[in-house]
Amino acid sequence: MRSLPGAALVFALVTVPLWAVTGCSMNTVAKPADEEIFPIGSKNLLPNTLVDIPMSASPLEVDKMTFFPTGLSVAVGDPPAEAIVQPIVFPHFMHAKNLGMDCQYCHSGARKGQHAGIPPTQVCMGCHNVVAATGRPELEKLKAFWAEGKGDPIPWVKVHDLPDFVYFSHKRHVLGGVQCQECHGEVQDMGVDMRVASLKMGWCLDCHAQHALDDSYGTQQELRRSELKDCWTCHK
Amino acid sequence: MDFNRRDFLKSASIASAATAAACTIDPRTPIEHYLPYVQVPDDELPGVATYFSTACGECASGCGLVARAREGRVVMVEGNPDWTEGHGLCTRGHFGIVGAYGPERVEGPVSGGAGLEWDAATQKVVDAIKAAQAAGKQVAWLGGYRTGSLDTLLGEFAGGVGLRRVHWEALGVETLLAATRQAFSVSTLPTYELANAQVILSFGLDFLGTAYGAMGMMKGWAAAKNPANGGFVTRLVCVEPHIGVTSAQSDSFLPPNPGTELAVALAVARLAADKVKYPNASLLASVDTAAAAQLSGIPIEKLTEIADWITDRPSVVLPGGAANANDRSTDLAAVTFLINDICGNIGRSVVFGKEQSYGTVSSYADARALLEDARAGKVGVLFIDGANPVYNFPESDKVGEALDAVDLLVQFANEPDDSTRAKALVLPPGSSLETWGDANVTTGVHTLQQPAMTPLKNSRSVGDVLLTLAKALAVPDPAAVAAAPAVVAAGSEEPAVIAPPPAAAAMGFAHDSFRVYVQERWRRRVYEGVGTFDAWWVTVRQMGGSFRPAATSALPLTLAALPAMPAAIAGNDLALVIFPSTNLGDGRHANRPWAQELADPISTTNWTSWAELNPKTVERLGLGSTDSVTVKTASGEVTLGFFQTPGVREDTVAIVLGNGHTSMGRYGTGRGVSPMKLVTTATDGGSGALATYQTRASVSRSDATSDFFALIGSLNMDGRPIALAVNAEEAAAHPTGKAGEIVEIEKVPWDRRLEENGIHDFFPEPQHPTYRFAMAIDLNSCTGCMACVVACDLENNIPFVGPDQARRGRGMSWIRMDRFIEGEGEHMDVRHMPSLCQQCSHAPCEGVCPVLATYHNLDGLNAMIYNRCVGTRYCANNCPYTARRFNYHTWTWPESMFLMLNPDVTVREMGVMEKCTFCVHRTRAAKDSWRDVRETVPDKALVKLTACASACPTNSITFGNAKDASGTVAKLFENPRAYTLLGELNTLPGVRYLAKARHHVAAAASEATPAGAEPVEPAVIKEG
Repeated sequence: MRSLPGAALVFALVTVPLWAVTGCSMNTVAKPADEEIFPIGSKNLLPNTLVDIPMSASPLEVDKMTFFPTGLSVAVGDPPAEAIVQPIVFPHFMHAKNLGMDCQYCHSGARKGQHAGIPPTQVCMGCHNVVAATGRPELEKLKAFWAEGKGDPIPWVKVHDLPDFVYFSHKRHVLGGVQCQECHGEVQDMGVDMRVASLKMGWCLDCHAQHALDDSYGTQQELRRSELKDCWTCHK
Repeated sequence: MDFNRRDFLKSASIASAATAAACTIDPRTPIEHYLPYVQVPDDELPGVATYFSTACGECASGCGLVARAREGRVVMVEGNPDWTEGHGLCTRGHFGIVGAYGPERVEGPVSGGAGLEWDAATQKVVDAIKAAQAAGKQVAWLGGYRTGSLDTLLGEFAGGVGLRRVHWEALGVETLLAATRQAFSVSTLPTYELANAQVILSFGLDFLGTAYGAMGMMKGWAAAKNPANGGFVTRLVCVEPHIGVTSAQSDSFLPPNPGTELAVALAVARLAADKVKYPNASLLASVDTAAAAQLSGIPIEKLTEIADWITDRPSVVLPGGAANANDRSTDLAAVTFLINDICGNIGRSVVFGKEQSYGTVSSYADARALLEDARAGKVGVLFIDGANPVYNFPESDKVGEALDAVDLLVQFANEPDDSTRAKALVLPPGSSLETWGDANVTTGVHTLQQPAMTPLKNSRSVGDVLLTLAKALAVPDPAAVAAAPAVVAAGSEEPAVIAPPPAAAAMGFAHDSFRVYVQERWRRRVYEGVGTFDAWWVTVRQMGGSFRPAATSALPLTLAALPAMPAAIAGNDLALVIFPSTNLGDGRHANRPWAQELADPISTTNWTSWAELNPKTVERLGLGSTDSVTVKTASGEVTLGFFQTPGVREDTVAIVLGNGHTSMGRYGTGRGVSPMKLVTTATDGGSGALATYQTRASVSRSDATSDFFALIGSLNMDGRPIALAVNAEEAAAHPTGKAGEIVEIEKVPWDRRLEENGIHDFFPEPQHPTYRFAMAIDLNSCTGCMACVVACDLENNIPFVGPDQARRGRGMSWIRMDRFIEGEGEHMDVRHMPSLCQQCSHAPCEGVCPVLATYHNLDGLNAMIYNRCVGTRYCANNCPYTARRFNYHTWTWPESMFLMLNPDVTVREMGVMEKCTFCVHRTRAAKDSWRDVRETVPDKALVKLTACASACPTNSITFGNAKDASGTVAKLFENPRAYTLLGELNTLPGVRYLAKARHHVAAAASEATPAGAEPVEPAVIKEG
C-alpha cells in the first residue's frame, strides 16, 4: 500500500557491500522532543506538492486529495511507454523462441514461490561468459554490470507491478496449469517485455471466475471457484 | 437519481486525476525498479522465507530462537520448537529484532565521538592495555553474564593479560548462588521443575517474568496449572511485598511486614519439619514460630496451613527474587532450600544434575569494588559488555565519575546508553541476529547462535575483538601449553573414535575468527563422537544447538547453621520495593519502541514509570487520580505518577525499574524516573547483592502533573462475567468432559418459543466448507506476560504510536491484554484476558460497513480489506469486543526499521480500520503448501500457526480448524471450562476462552440454577 522499500530495496541492500565505513558521530545531542520522535500530521505520505491544492479546485477534488492517500487508491493510468526504459535491451524472442529456452530457466521462482524472480546476473553470465560480447553493446553493458561478480544489480524497470496490498503467488498459478502467456502475453515474440494485461482486479476476477480448473478438484470444483472469489485470496 | 456508488467513485477519480495533473503529480502507476541479486546466496528465493535456528541474545538464559529471514533480512523471531523448552518466546526475547534495526546503532567503532577504522580501534585498545600493564594499572571487564564459548575465550584471555572479570546484572542470581553454596556447597543453581508441583510457595522469585530461566519455569507452571496434566491445579502461594506479573497468579498472596519474609520462611520450615518429623529437626529447634508470626504479621494458623499444603502434596519452594532483595536475601534463599529438603523436594522439583550455570557471577559488592578502584585511578582499561552500570547502580555510587577516571573505557555497545562516556571507545559488537555465539546455561543444553543476516553496520563480535586483541598482544596461547587433543580432520569420513577431550583442554587464540572458535569449541567440548563431526555440525545448525539435558539428581543439604530471625524494622516510613518491568527488564530494552508501547500487565500504562500505592495510602495522602507523588529516601527523591492497587501493602511503595534513563536513544531517554536514585548502597550480608528492599521512603503529594495513564480504564469487571474463573478443585475433577459442565458456554436469552422451535438466528450461520479457523485461549495458564501482544505487533507491522497518542486511546495493538483485579487481601484475584478479534460468525461489524470492506469469508474469518476501507469507523463502533483499531494517522517508523517490516502484511495508513486477521498470511501460506499435496491443513500444522500462539510461553493459545472434530481446538472448545465471551450477544465467535481455575473461587455446582429461571451469570467473581 505505502511505497516502502520493498523487495527491490532489500535486494539492493543485500547485494551492495555493507561494509563501507563512514565516519560516524555519536548521538550526543539532546533528545528531540516527542513531536519529532513521533511525528504526526506530517505522516501523510503524499508528496508535499499535493498539499498545495490550487484554490480553484472543487471541494470534491480537495476531499479526494486529502482523504485518499495515494497508496489506497488504484492508480488511474499506466506509466507512459517511453518511461519504461530498460537498462539492457533484452531480446526475449532470442532466448525464449530462437534458442527455445524455458521461461523458468531464468524465472526459476515461478513454480516455487510468490515471485517468478528476475534472474541474478550470475545466471546471465552462466551462458554469456562464453558468448562473445565484443561489438555487441548490450552484452558489453551486461559484462559491465557483472564486473566479475562485484558489480551493481541491474536496475530493471518493473513492467508487471501489482499494488503492495495484493498477494499474488506465481507458484499457485503455475502449478494450477496457467500458462505464462495467459497473463504476460506472447513474451517469446517480444523484444523488451511489455505489459499486455491490465492487471486490474476485474481482469484477475474474470479469470478466477472462468478459467478452467484442473481435474484434481473433482467434486470440489464449485467450492474452489468460491474460494477463488474470496477477497482474502488475493488481498492482504 | 441514477448515480450509483461506482459512478461516484469513477467521477471522483477522474476529478482527482485532473487535479493531480495540475499539481504535476503523476497519478499513474509509479515506475519502480526490480534489483535482482548479482550473485544469489545459497537457497535464497525472493518471496520465500529462510529460517535460522539460533539463540536469543536478549539475556543470558540462552533460549532457543528461530529467526525468519526474508530477502536477507530477519523479519520475525519465534521460539525454537526443537529447544528443550519447546515453543514460545518471552516478551523481552522479541526485542532482539527491534534492537537489530534500531535507528541509533553506531555505524562502526567510535572513539571520543568520532568514527574510526576497526584496525585503529583495536590498536588503541592494545596500546592502552600495554600502557596499563607498564604502569601497573588494572585491565578490567565489567559485563553481563556470559556462558559458552565467549566465557571460555574470556577466561583464557583474562588469564593471559591479567584481566579482572566482573560479571554483574541488576536482576542477577548472586544471592541464589550464595545460597546454594551455603545449602549444597555447589556453585550452580538448581533447576526448578514445576510441572508436578501441586503447591508452589514463592518468596518473590519472578518465575513468570524476569527471572533467569523463566521460560522453563513458565512451561512447568503452565503444566502444573493444567487439570489434564495429572488431575490437579497447582496452588501458588506468594510471600512477597507486591503483586507483580508472577504474584498476580497467586491463590494466596501474603505480604508480610516489610523485611520479614525470612521470619515466614523460618516458621514454615519449623512447622513443616515438625509435621513430617524431619530427621535434622535440631537445626530448627531455635525457631520460635509464634514470634515469627508476630513479627511477620501473618497469623500462625495461616503459617500452619502453608506448612500443611507444602508437606501434604508434592511441592516446590522458590527462593527470593528481586522483590525480596533485602539484607538477608541469601539467608532467605538458603532457608527455602531447607524447606524443600524438609518436604522431600530436592531431586524431585528442585533438581541438580541438569543444573544451571551463568558463567562467572559477581556480586554488586564486587562490581562496586572495581568501580572504586577505577575512581581511584587504578584501572587502566575497562571493558563494558552487556551492562549499563550508570543506570543500574544506585545513583549515589556516581558510577559515571568512576568510568571517567579510567584511562580507556572500551564499551561493547550497538547503541549509546547511559554508560557511554564522551571519551569512550565504543565498539559495536553487532546484534545477536548477526553474529556467532553460543550459550550453555543448563548442563547438557547448548544453544548455538548463528547469524541470520548480514551485519547492517560495520560491527565485530566481542569474540572476534578478543581474538584480535589476544593475537596483537601476543597473549601466551594456553593451547600451546596444554597438548592439543587430536581430533578427526574436518571432512573425514571415518567415524570418530577419539573420546572427547577433557573440558579443561584449552582453546587458545589461534583461530581465524570467532565463528571458527565456536565451531572448534563445540568439536572439542560438545560433540560426543557419534558420526562425523561435519554431519553432526549440520544437524546442530539445523536444530539450533545440542539439547541433551543431563539426568536429574539430588544433592544432600549441607546447611550447617540456621540463619537468625530478622529484626523488626522500626520507623514510620514506607518500605520501598523496586520491581523490574516485565517489558523493559532491568532497563536494557528501554530504547525499543515496541517495548515501551506495551502496556504493563498489572498497571496497564506505557512509556513511563509509576509508583504503586495501596488505596489506603492514597486516601491518607489525599491524592487525586491525576496527582503525582514525591518519593523521598536518604539517597534522593523522585516525582512520578502512581497506580492505586490493592496489590501493595499500606506500609509499602513499589516503583518500577526500567525507565528514567539519562541517555538511551530517542525512545528511552527521559521517560519516567529511575528508582535507582532512591536506593541506598546497602547490601545483602551473604552475597554482597544490592539490597534494594532495604531502603525506606517517605511519600508525599506533589504538584507536578502525573503522566501515569491506565490504558485499561477499569480496575475490575464491575460484576460482569468477562474473564471467568472456576473453582480449582472442580476444574481438577473435570480435566476433560463436556462443554457447559462447569461454566455455560454461552448465554443466549432468547424467547422460549423460538428456543422450542430450534430457531436461534435471524440469519443462517455462514457456511464453512473446509475450515473454520478458531482459537482457544486458556485463561488458566495465561499470565498476561504480553508476549502474544508483542509477537503480533512485530508480525503484523503494527506501529507504535508514542505516549501522547496512546493516552488518546489510539494504540494500535491488535491484542489488548485486559486486566481485572477482583477483591483484595489474600485472595486478591488478578485476571488477564487477551482480547482480540473474535472472528464472529454473526459479526456485528460486517453488516454496518457501507463499502463491504469487511465480510465473513469461507474459512470463518472476519476479513478486512484495507484498500476498500474508507474509514467510517462504523464497524469499530459496532464491535462489542472493541477489537478494531483505526489509523488516525499514517504512523511512521525510523527508516532503519522499514527493513523489519513483514513483506507478507500490508502496511496500513491513515484512515484505514484494521484488526486481528488470525495471521491470514500464515494460514494462506499453510493452505498453499498443503494444497500442493491436495490436502487440507492438518491440525499439527495449525496449533501454533499464528504469531500469538507461537509466542505464548505457557501454551495458552491454541489455533486450529474447528471443523476438524479430532483437532486440538475442537477438543478445547468442548472443555468444561470453555465459554464464549459475551455469548449472550449470539455473535458465534471463533474464539473460546477456558476459564481460570482458582482455589478460592466458589464451586459453581453449589449454586445450581433453578429450573426455568433466567440463566444466571456464571458464578465466578465471588470469593470463597
